[in-house]
Amino acid sequence: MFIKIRDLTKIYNNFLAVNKINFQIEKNKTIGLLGPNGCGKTTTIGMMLGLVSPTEGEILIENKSIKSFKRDDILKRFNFASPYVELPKKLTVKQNLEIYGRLYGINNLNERISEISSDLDIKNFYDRKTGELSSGQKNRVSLAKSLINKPEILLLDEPTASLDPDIGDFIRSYIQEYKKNNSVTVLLASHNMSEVERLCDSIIMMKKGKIIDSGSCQDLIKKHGRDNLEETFLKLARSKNEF
Amino acid sequence: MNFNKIYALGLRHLYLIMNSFPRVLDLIYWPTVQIFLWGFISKFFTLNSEYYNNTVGVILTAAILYDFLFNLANFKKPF
Repeated sequence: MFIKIRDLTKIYNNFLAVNKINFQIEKNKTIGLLGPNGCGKTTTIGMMLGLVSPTEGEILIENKSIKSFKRDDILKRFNFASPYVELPKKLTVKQNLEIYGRLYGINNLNERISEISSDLDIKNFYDRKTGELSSGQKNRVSLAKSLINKPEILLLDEPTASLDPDIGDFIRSYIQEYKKNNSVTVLLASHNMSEVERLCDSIIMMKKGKIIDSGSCQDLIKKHGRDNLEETFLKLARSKNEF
Repeated sequence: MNFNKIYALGLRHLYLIMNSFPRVLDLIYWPTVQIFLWGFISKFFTLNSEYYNNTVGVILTAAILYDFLFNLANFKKPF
């Protein structure tokens, strides 16, 4: 197994944000992390990135604890995109990509920036400040930043939140296409059920910091006797039982 | 030590300054004010006291350097 999460727990003061969760991700698979607001999705991603220290538990990459890796070495293999984490607003798109590229120590950085900019169609606002861009443009820049180091593990926190259907579809199609052509394992936190159905090989459902169910989309829909993932999500989110 | 990261952070500060006229002005204006202020004070001391004659140059240089570095490091404004 490529990534293993073992008994991962986070307690903020007296608030239990993540409660002994266990899951694993196979290499090159896309896993959806679903759950109501405040269920611990972002905290889990934060712990995987090393931004939040777990209270208990561990994260294993190829059966080695993430703590045993040098931070620089492990960060080169990860990247992250979220519309809630803004890039420096006063810098232009090109400057942002250049700085992040240098932070990741990318060779042939100009070529890589040019390649990713063409792919994500961001060249026409290359020289505009990031703070002046629309949500859709910012999301594409954020995704470009997250792919600049060709990560092995990509963590996406609601990558299409607040986007119109056209841009949302563009980003989903791009992620699908990118996965076909590159070796990347994706953990996708999302509230968009059609996105999850389209992109994810399997799903982890969280509620109040715990994993309440997991499996492939079709299996979960069938198991809970619903017609689609949205109805399944509603059933799980509103129920008082664990499954 | 990772020089790539140091270079990237330096570049970020450079771009931040270059993209904003008020930041460039901050870097020039306040050290200039300090040069004039401390220059006149130093001039006064050198003309009126032999004791301070050799120290004013050091004080003036330190004050200007402090002001330049203070403005350079003053990135508390939203970026």
